[in-house]
Amino acid sequence: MSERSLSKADLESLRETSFLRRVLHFSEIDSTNSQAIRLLAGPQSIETPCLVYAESQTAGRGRGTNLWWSRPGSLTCSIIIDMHRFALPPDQQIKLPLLAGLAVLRSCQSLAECSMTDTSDFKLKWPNDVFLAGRKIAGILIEVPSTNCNRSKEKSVHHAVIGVGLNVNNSWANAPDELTATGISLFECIGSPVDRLQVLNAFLNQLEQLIRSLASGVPVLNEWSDHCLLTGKRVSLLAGDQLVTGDCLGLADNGALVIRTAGGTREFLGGVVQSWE
Amino acid sequence: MKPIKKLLVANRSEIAIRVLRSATELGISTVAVYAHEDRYALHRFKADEAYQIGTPGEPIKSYLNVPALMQICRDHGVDAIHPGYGFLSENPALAKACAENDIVFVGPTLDTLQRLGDKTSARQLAKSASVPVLGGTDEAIKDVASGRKQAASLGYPLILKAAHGGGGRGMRVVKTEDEFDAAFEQATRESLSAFGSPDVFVEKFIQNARHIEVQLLGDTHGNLVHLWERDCSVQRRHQKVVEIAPAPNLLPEVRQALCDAAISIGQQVNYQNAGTVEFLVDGNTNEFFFIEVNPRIQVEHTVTEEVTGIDIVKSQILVAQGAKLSDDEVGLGDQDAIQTSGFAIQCRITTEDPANNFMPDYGRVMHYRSPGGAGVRLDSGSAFSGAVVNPFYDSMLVKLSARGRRFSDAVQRSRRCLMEFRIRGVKTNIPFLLKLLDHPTFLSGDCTTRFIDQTPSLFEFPVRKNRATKLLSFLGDVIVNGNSLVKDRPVATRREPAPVPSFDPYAPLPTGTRDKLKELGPEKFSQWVKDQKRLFVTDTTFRDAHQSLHATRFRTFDLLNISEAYARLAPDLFSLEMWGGATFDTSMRFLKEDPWQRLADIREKVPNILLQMLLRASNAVGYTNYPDNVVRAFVKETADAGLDVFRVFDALNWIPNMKVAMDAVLETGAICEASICYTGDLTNPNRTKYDLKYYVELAKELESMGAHILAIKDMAGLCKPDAATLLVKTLKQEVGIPIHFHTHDTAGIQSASILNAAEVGLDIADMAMAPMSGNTSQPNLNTILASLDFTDRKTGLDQQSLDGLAEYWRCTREFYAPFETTVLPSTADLYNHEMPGGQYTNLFAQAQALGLADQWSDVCKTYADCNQLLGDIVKVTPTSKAVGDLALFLVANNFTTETVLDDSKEFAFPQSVIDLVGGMMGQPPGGFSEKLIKRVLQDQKPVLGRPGESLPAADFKAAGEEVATFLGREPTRREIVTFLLYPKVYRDFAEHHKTYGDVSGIPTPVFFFGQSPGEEFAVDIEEGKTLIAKFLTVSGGYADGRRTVFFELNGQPRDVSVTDLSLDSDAVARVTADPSNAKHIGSTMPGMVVMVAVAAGDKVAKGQKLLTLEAMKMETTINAEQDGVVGKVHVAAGLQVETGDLLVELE
Repeated sequence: MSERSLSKADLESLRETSFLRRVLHFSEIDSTNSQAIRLLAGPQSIETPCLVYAESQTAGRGRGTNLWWSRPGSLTCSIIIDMHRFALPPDQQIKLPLLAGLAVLRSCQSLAECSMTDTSDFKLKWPNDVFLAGRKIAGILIEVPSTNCNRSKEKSVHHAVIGVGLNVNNSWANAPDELTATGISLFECIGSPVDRLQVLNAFLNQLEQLIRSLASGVPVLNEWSDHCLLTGKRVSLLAGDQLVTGDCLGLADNGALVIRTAGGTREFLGGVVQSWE
Repeated sequence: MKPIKKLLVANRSEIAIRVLRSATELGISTVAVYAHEDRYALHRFKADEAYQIGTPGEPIKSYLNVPALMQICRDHGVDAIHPGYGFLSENPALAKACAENDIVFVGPTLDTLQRLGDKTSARQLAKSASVPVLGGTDEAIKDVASGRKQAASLGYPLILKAAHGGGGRGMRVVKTEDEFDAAFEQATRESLSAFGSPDVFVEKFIQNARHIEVQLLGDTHGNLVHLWERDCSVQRRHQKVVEIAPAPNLLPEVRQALCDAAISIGQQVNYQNAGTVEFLVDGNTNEFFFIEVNPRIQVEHTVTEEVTGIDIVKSQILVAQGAKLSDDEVGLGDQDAIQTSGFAIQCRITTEDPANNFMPDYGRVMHYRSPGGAGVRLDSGSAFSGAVVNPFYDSMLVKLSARGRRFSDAVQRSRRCLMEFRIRGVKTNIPFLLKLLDHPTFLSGDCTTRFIDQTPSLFEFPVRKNRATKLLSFLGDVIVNGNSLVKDRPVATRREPAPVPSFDPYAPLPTGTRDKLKELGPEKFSQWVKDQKRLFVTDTTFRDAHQSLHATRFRTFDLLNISEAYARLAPDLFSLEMWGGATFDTSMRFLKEDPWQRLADIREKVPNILLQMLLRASNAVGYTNYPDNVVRAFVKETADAGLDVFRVFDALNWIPNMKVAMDAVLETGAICEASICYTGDLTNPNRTKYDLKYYVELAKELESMGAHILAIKDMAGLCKPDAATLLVKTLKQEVGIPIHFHTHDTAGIQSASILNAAEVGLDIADMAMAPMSGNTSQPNLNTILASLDFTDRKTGLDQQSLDGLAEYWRCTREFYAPFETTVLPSTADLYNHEMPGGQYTNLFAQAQALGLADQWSDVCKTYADCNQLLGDIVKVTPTSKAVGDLALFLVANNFTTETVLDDSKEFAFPQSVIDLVGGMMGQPPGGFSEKLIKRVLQDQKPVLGRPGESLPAADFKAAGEEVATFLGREPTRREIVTFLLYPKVYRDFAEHHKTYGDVSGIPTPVFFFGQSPGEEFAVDIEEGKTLIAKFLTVSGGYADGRRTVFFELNGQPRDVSVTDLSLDSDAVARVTADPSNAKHIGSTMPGMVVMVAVAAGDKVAKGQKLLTLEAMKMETTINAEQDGVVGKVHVAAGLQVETGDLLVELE
């Protein structure tokens, strides 16, 4: 499918319609997250929120050593935000990944609603993969490039890089074998091509709203829980080198995944859910 | 004929084992494959060779890996593959790969698989064989509109099915036209997500359908036979649960027609090997319709084997080698010779929890015991003690097939087998299967496919007892963590049981006081007691003795052990004081025993001696005033449970408080023993408040209120020998009911008081068995008994027998060493402060805690002063506590009683004093002084009436509903009363009971200190059922803080997993970073450590990455803030940390 590239001008327009203050446009790059982290480590200060966009990534990253399969038509970008600017208290900052997932889900839902698609099939797989009809439609990787220890937090800038990979108009028919059954795109869901700029704009606005809600003490995780893919299912979570299997009971107040294992109920802030159901 | 030399089974679990067995019987070498996750699965060990396949983390996919299978075949000389069922069995890819690699595929031809795999083409096939198919579309529905049109022509109800589906997924029943659109959308999407294809077709839906299938077997020479039919109608959500061969209640002509139809369909494709043709039979019209062909062996092939005697799998392998059906090894040349005999039933036993919507359960099978016997067949995968059921695979644990001459015989045999199973550690569907097999519809053989889904009663289960597991959990917990009751207390070294004196258990039971009570009724009985010459004796060892000496910690186990000996050796005792006071509370709170059970059990063992209790009037067996209806209900329940004598007292001798309880006792027909609490000193002419007149008037009033016996309750042991003489002698003259004297030997001379009282006509005296007597307990029963031996008050009890009983208590007391307290010897000061025995030790401990141990004599003196200040009151729980609290307060602050009344000083009174003076404990004789009331209560008005009067009546119904919520069943009246008396204690006890069951039968050393390795004991869990538990060993602690405790239960290995509280990893590892220390690197957020980039001793530069944390996939890198050398790394990958936890320390 031929896909119109998003131009620098397209992206600049987002500064009018969203909370972005700066946009960086690349036609091809190794990974937008890596670029964002390089920028933050550099000598110049970055005006935030800042969008790092690439038409294609040669080494898009998922969690750990996972790669993100990106193809023309998908939306890959990173957003740098300063958590202090949003007055996000440290104990709330860890909910950012959950919010990012919810923001993607809300954006997809709003687009799908316009096209009469059943939106109840959109689910969130803890912490922030977005699923549609059992297949992954978006993945998010948040990195906090460098923090020093807690004593200097008052004066330090606390940046988070929110990397998003969202399958918009890319078809999975040509995906590598091991991925065909696992991915889906908005195009395949809605049945017609979707304007990626519109998707990105929706996402940025949802994200801003959710972060502000969180900073104001709104219990945003309730909405998250309504879309939880794992609640009530048997899940296997790899935490470090330990594989934990049990019934997923949902989210704890702090966003941790609650699993009832043979040894009792435990809460996990980290780890990868490898299988469910 | 191409003989197979080496057969690989491309499957797992029971079907792999099933195939391997037949192959082995045929002399063929066998090869198994297993996924990494299945590396301990049993099928691996049933083959001659086994190879791992696929990669870890892909438990299912590994078995679907055709190239890997081919590689194994090539590498190890495999020349045939049996696919089992599921996995690759119907996938043409495997058959194709086999053909390409010159490997025999034990199954139908590739062409057959392709033609039957697609449901639409299968339907075409049936049509061309002139077999009726259910009305419906032959091709996938194009869109909603055309689907609706087709549906309209078929007529509702109908069913939407995924073209490539199976196992019930992607199916949807549509009852009316307006449901069609939504159902179609859903079915399409489900089909797409489950099978990768949105193709759906529509079929007519039959209301009362039976699922009947015919087993086919064909050879490669064009011969095809059927092995008759199976009834698989019993399904839950389209999944088969129980299968029967042959189908019960099937008309012979229908049966023949089904088999003929199956054969002609098979002939259409020149069917080879084993396969099954499935039909729906309309239960109303006997019409039948083709559903599909399963071109493989099926789960339920067992029942056909059982009734035909044919080994289907063996036949599969033989025909795959080219054997003819008519060959002798196969023996299926003549269709007419294939007959069925009797009935067989297969139950699929799964690890699903029927009580929880069949949620699959998993974990370790702690214990597995299977049934056996004639006509029983088990096909299992990994079903054994210690096997792990993991969540990756289907949950079938074992298939039970049972045979019988008639259908009902097969059902009975199946039931018997299901009940013989003992599977612990994972939940199973056995309770559900039992309900199913018991259902009249099943028994009549009339089940249809919707039977389960339409019969909700099948899902109502009795509560499972699982007593053994609960017991072992408790024992394991004590072994690993110890019993918190004895934590930091002296250890009891005695482990051998205390010796019970011998008696003849077959001799007729001697009659005792209870028989007399039954004969005479309470009034005449009281008269009879009075008329007897002997001094009656109440033994307090079962209650007050250990309440006074061991904080009421004696367990039912030890009381019950000696009970029958009492009934046989000491029938002349007046009563056993065994309940009330603190027992009710402590038995639940600490000993985790049911106090009612204690009463009932002792009653059963001692039917001939009166059982006596202490009742705190309006406080019943608690520490606070209860509403009258609770007191009345409690008394009634207690009398019903078998208690005979209620000793009722009020801490202030306040008659109004006693009346409700006394009336309640009188109503039950039990003996009402009303108490006078003794205080002051009758021999001291200066103590005038509690004089003889006071006691006489009190006694007369109690007698007039209907008391059958009058008790003198001398809780502090203040009644000196001469006072006893005077008091008893006078009361004997003034009242007409027997006198019962209760004292504590705190002063050491209370035996003299009893003997003195006996001389002037005392009727009954309380004493304790020698090893449990003296000090704050009662005087020595054995020696008092001996001293009366040659007097006219001789008790009638046998000295030698009683000494035997005493020996039992001496040994039993050794079990309770942790609760022994050093009792301070009393001096004559006792008569000044008048502290009750129990309080004496408690108050000393409190004083010690406040650093006032050296001022103990001050405390005692101040206690006496406070008593005077309060107007010289009766001191016993709870009034004694108020006096003690005040005394300690004064001494600690260097105040005197004058300070208390000094208006110029602010003074914060203890709550107990406010309650006492405010009238919440009732009214003392003469009341409190106005000045004191004003000082203590300030502007508040004291309560002058009975506190219980103003309490609203308890709502038994509401309480019952609350109890039901945590018991999970309707409570008894007794349980409701218990809850009303002790809501929190009872709830905790009920919770403990739910987790660990009844722990009262565990021997005391084991209960407190756990078993030592190799030690065993027996416990009766019900009549005729005894568990023998032997402790073996404990495994080392695991990272998750758990240990496994190994037992032998009734000779079978069992184990339980226990959290070792000392291994609490979170608590152990956590160190907090010091924010002011620049060398401490702390965590900036809660999360999990993903990786640690440095190790102790590493040099790090400013800005270098030390470690990465992750929370919800958000990765945070922690860098060094300065150059330095890593001193210590406190965390490792995988550990969860909190904000501020110390991660790395620099040197």
